[in-house]
Parts: sequence; C-alpha cells; structure tokens
Amino acid sequence: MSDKLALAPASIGLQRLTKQYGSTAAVRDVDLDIRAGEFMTFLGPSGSGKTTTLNMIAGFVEPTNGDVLVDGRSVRAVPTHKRGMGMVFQGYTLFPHLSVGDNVGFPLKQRGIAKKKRRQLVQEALGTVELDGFEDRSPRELSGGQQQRVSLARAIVYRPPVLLMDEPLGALDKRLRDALQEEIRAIHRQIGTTFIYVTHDQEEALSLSDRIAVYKDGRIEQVGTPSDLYDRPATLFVARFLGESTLLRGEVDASDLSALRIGSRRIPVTNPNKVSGAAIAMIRPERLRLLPPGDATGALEVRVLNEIYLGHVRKLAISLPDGTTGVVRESPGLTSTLAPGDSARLAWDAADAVVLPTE
Amino acid sequence: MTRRWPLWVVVGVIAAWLVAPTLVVVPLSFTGARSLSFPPQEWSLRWYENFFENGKWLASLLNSLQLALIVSVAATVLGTLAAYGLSRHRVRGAGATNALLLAPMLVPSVVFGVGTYALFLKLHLVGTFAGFAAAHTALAIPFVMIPVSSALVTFDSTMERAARVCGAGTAATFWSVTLPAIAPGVLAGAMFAFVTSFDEVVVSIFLSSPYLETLPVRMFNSLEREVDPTLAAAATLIICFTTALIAIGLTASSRRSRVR
Amino acid sequence: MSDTLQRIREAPAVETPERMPDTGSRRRDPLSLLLIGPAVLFVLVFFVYPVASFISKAFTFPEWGTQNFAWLFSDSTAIDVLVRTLCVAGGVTLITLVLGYPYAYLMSVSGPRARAVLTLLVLLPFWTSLMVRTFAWVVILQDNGVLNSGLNSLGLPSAHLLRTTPGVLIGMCQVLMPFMVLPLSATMRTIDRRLIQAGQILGASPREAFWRIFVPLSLPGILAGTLMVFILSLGFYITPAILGSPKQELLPNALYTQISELLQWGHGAALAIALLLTAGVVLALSMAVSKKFGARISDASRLEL
Repeated sequence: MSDKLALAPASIGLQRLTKQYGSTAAVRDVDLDIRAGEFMTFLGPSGSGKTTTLNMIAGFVEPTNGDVLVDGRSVRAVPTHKRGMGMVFQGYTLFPHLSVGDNVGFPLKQRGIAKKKRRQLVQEALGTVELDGFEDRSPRELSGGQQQRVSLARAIVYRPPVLLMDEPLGALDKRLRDALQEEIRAIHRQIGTTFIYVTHDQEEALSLSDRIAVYKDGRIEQVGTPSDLYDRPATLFVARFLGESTLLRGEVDASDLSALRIGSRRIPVTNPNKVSGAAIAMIRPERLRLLPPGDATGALEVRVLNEIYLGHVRKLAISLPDGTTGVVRESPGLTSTLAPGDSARLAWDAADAVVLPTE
Repeated sequence: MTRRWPLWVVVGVIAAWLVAPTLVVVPLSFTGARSLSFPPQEWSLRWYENFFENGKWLASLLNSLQLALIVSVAATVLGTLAAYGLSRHRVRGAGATNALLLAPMLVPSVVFGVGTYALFLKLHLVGTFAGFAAAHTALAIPFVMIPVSSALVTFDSTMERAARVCGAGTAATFWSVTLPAIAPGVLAGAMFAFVTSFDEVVVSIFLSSPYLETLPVRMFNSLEREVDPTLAAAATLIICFTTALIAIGLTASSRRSRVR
Repeated sequence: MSDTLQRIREAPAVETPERMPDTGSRRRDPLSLLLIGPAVLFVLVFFVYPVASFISKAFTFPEWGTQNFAWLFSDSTAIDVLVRTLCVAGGVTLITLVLGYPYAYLMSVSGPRARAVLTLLVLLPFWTSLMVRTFAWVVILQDNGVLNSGLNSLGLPSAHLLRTTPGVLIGMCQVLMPFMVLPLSATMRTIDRRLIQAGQILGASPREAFWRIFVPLSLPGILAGTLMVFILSLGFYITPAILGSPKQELLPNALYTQISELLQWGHGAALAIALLLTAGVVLALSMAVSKKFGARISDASRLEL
C-alpha cells in the first residue's frame, strides 16, 4: 500500500453553515462536529437540507454563510477537485466510455500515479467491493448493484480522508439494499475513513451509523447515536421520523418532572429533556405491555382495535382514553390472548416513556 | 393499408418529383455531345476527363475541400465551446447570445454576402482563402451549435461532479468526461459544418476572384456562361460524395446505438 | 373547473429544491464567458458588423437621408420586384403546403419502416448541393430538355419554362419541400388517433372527421411549415438567378443587380431592409397567431375521453 495515498481519516467541522436560494434557506446555521473515522448519517425528509449540506462539504455549492473545516482548517476557498474527498452518487455516475478498471483508476490517473501502481490499487479496490476481475468490463454490462459497487471502489481507491455518500442505495430494490448496507458497514470497519452518509430511510440510518444528525427544514433537530435518537428523542419530529410510537398527551408540573398528568391520572415517565407544561409522553411499541383488564394504577385503560400479523410479531392498534390511537408490538413469548374489541390495560416501565415538548 | 392506395400513388408521384430531377444529371454526365441536350445520343467519359484535367475545375474542387475541412474544424471548436458555455450555468443573456449565434442561419445569404463583400473590399480579403474561411465559419457555427446543444441537454452533469471529486480540474473534466459523452453531437456538427461550407454558393460568389473559386461558384459561372457538360460530371461527383458521407454517418451512428 | 386548475398551476412549490443549480456561484462565470466569447466575437465581427454596415447604407448612401426609401416606394420596378417576390413566396408556400400535407399525413400514419423511407426521400434533396439541384432543373426545363422531350413524344407542344417565373416556382418548391413536410409530420404524429375515432362514433363521416378534427389539430405544424417556407423563399437567390427571367427579378436578385451592376448601394440596402422587415413581420404575426390558437389546440388534444 502506498504511503502517499494512505491518508488518515479527517474530522469535519461545520460552523454556522447557511445556504440561501433567493428568499428560501435550504440550510440554516448548521453547527456540527464530525469526528475522524466515524460513520455519520444525515437523516431527514427530502428538501430538509441534508444533500445541500453534503454538496457544500464537497464544494459543489458555495455557502452563503459559515464555513466547512477539514481537520480544523477552512476549505471554503478550496475548489472541489483539490479537496481530495471521495463521493458516491445516487445515480452511480460511472463514466460510460471507460471500462470498469479505467473508471476506478480515473482519480489515480489525475494524481499522476504510474500505470503499474494504478493497476495494483484498482485491483485492491475492486477486491474490497468483491468485484475481482471486473477491470475489463464495460459499465453498461453491469447490474445496478454492481455499478454502485464500482462507484464505491472508485471513491475509495485513493484512500480519501473523507467519504461522502448521497443516498447511494436509493435506486436499488430492498434485498440488494440490505446486502449492500452490510457491505458498506464492513468497508467502513476495514478502511476506517470518515463516512458521511445521506439518506431519508431511517432503518438504513439506524443500522449503519455511529451517529445520526436528523435534519428538518434546513436545521439539525438532534444529533446522537442511533439508540440516543430512538430511545431518547428530543422532539416529536425526531421521535416520529425514527419509528413508530404511542403518544400520550398531558401536562407536566414543574414541581414533579417525573410524572405526566392525563386528566386525573398520574403516569410515571422519564424526562431527560426537562420539559414542563403541556407535554407528550412517547413510548415505542415494543416497550408497551398489554395486560388483561384489572387494577389500573400506573397503567391506562385501553381497547384493542385491530391486529396485524407480521410473522414474527403481532402489531396491535389500541384506542387510548383520549380517543387517539397507539401501537403495541408483541413478540412471541409475551403474546397475550387479547383480540380486537377487548378491553385491556396498557403498562410500561417509566424509563421507556420519554417526555417531549408539544409542537 | 389497401384503403389508402390512392394516397400512396399521390405520395409516390411527389416522392419521384423530389428525388428524380437530381438524378437527371447522372446520365447527362456521360454524354458525348458538347451540349446539355437530353437524352444523350452518344456516350463518353470525356467530361470526367475534362473535369480532372482542366486546371480550373480541379483547382475549384481542391479549394472547396480544403476550405470545408478548415471551416469544419474552426466552426466545430468555436461552436462546441460556446454551446458548452451556454449550457453550464444561467449566464445572463443566454437567450440573446443563443439567438445571436444562430442568426447567420436565418438571415438571407444575399444580404450577408453583399455586406461581407463590402467589408472585405476594405480589408483586401476578397479572393483570399482567409476571407472565405472567416465568412464560411460564421455561417457554419449555428449548424454546429444545434446538434451539440441537443447532446448537452441529455448529458447528465452529475458525471462532471463525479470527475471533479476524483480530482479532475475543469479542463480535464471537459476533455475526459464531457467531450466523450457528447461526441456524437460534436461529430454531427462537424459534418454539417463541412457540408455547409462545401455547398455554399451565394456568399462565395461575392468573395470569389478569377484566381480563387470554389466548386459551387465554378458551377454557377459555368451555368451562366458556357454550357458545358463538365458541369454534369461535377454534379454527379458531388452526388456520389455527399451520399457516401451520409451513408457513412448513418452506419456509424446505428452501429453505436447497437452497441448500447 | 378551470380555475381549480389555475390554482393548482399557481401554487408555489412546498419543498425547497435540494438539487437547484447554484445560480449564485461567482467562481465559474468567467469560465463560461471564456467559452462563449470567441464564438460571439467571431460572429459579431464577421457577420453582424458586415450586415449592419451594409444595411446602414440605406440611410447613408450616397448621403444621409431617406431617399432610398423614397425610391423604393415610388420606383415602379422596385415595387414590381417587391410584389412579385411576395407572390412567388406565397405561391411556393401554398404549393408546398398542398403537396406536402398528404405526404406528411402518410408519414405519420405509416409504420416505422415506411416512415423511415419517406423521411429519407424527403431529406435526400437536402443533402444534394443546391447547385446540383438547380442545374438539374435547367436540364429538365430547358427548351430541348427532359420535360419537353417527354411532352413531345406524347404529341404535346413544348413548354417554355426556363428563364420564366413559373420555372422558378417549380424549382423552389422542390428545394423547400422538406421544410414543409418535416414540421407537418412532426405535429401530426402527436395527434391522438382516438380523437378521430371519437368523432366518428359521434356521427362524423371519415371526411368530416378529417376536416373538422384532424386538420385543426395539425394547425401548429401548418403554421411552422408555412412560416419556414415563406421566409426561406423570400431570400432565395440562386434558383431565381438561374431559372428565372432577368426581366422578372425577385428581391435578392434585384439586390444583386443594384449593387454589382448599378453600384447603387443605398438602393440595395433599402431592398435588404425590405427583405428583413417582411421576414420579421411574418415571424411576429405567426408567433402571435400560434400563441392565440396554440394554447387552445394543445388543451383540446389532451382531452380525456
């Protein structure tokens, strides 16, 4: 392996990053520190600013305000082709007039690496993405999954300190996506570069990332590890985006932050965000327990509306006292014998009920 | 289809009227007589001999070929770069610039010819190769811009971004990624530019001198003065040449699309 | 219903476009100018300047003033030329429309192979040099030419067509046919056949369906083709020069005569302005007409039945 190329993973700093298009702000005041070597995912709905942020890191788009730092140094004035980052696009974007080998070797040629060395590095890169021997094929002959892997090989062949990925699996079917996700994770472990990944698919984000930044309307709502965001979301938007939930609306007294008042009842909750006043308790479906009717202290009386059989689990839609609907997931072993129409009790551990501010 | 046969007959007649007249010149080029009387009573190859041995005819052919080649290169370079520049960003005044660069195609060539003649008289460019090249290139630029712009419209510019991320600067990106992708459009433009210059009559009439004539000008003068069947030989040669060019162009483009 | 559509059309986009082009980038603009500059400069110097300086002679030769235009509107020869040119252009347009319409119709209803053949036939004259085609017409139309040999062998008298205006018409029509046929067939191919079928179910005979449904829907193509042929035929020089009579000149030829034989640059320039203005007026008129009718037609042809 050439020492000239094995660059150490870099940290990325985003400082007050803003991009305005006319009167609309695509990205507003984004502050983020991405650590060297970590797998960071920008997650959010389309139009939330995550791709624009990525494009500013790559240098395709000039920020209206703010700065992008690589290892502490500003790169705002550095043009794209000098930033030395790697990028994988959604549409593969392989050069159709070049063979697979020439595609992967393209960045090496730009850096003036000798032909023999190039061939070796291309071979290694193709090996990493499990496409050994594909050097002489034409991109047109490859399937979507193979093209994306070539695209990945081309992005890592020169060992960039940062690898950017813009919804690379969006155009593939589910099975292929799952398989490639595992490969991407394995490659990250293997080469250790800083990965910045953009997606709108929360399952993808949860399974791949070290940390996730959730985007909404051009801003980052919350940054944290997958379990941080899933179990302890800071806002209703993050909670909803990352999975299903049951929402209980009520009030929290400033004097007792660990309880939510719904009508006359007090239910135990956990309140890491220290919310008081009108609030919502969010519980994930797999943390709820359905019990047959009985003593309802510390629990809620509900009625089962519907059940959906998913093979390994059963999802039950329940109607809450205030009329809204909740979701419960039951796995085998804990299956109750409740059916649609039955009354039941809903119970949970206080630690699993997170208080969120209302919107 | 059988219901439509009267329509086919009518269309057949029209098609014949479109194509047949041109073919009249072919048998005429083999006439043994000195006049253009048709049909020829005797047959001979003397007019072809005359074409290739007569200094003036041969010179005009060579002039036309040389000129067309140079114009093709110049117009293709200028037109391709301009079309590329216009496609990249919302340049202010792009619409007006586009209209300007297409104008030579739309203005009647007499007006252009007279104007150019007047200007070149002052610049002593009448009857010079450079003058011809300049005028023809201006005429040919729109014919390059149209196919190249069309190719650029379907070109996915994300590929340019991919090249830049890989470390290619602007020139390297254009040369190694964009140009190969729009190559069919560029080649089509080059071919149109060639034919435009090779066929150009009106402006060339104004710019010609007894010492520098292009083939179409020579044909025009020949028609006005001496009626000579060498004209028919020249015409037949042109028909063969342009048909061959198009046949090559068509097979090349269909072969490319088959590979895809 | 239409104002619901209007409201939908006018509603602003809700989401911020993430992949909008970077219109504010100042870094790349100088490069675009560098790319476009040479071509623009070239066209300005070698095309715009000569044309403009020639045209300006209408006001400056032999001295400042509008005397050339006074001549244009009073001299009987000049007026004849103007009228004749308009008539010939109109005639060519009409003939190519009448002949081209069935040709284009057949192209649009044929299968791909037949259509390819028909397209090739229409484009073939395109590729053959103008000189070759004009020369061919000389051979055909001359007094002892192909046409007359044919007529004589059938016992018909000879037709004197060379060096006449009808001869010019015939030659120009053949050359300009592609410019009428191609826009026509392009538009015809977009017409939904089911509209004709709908008309027939509603009681229209095939003939009525054709005239009252198909033809109006082909109007954009007719406008485009007519416009192109008319404007192009205003500027024809070679064909009238070779096939036409010197006593019945068309505009471009009169222009040449004024300049090269009479050295009347001012008169020539005035004629040039007349030519350009006529073309411009026709262009503007047809754009106005197509805007007015085009909208209605494209809405109608998208009828969901």
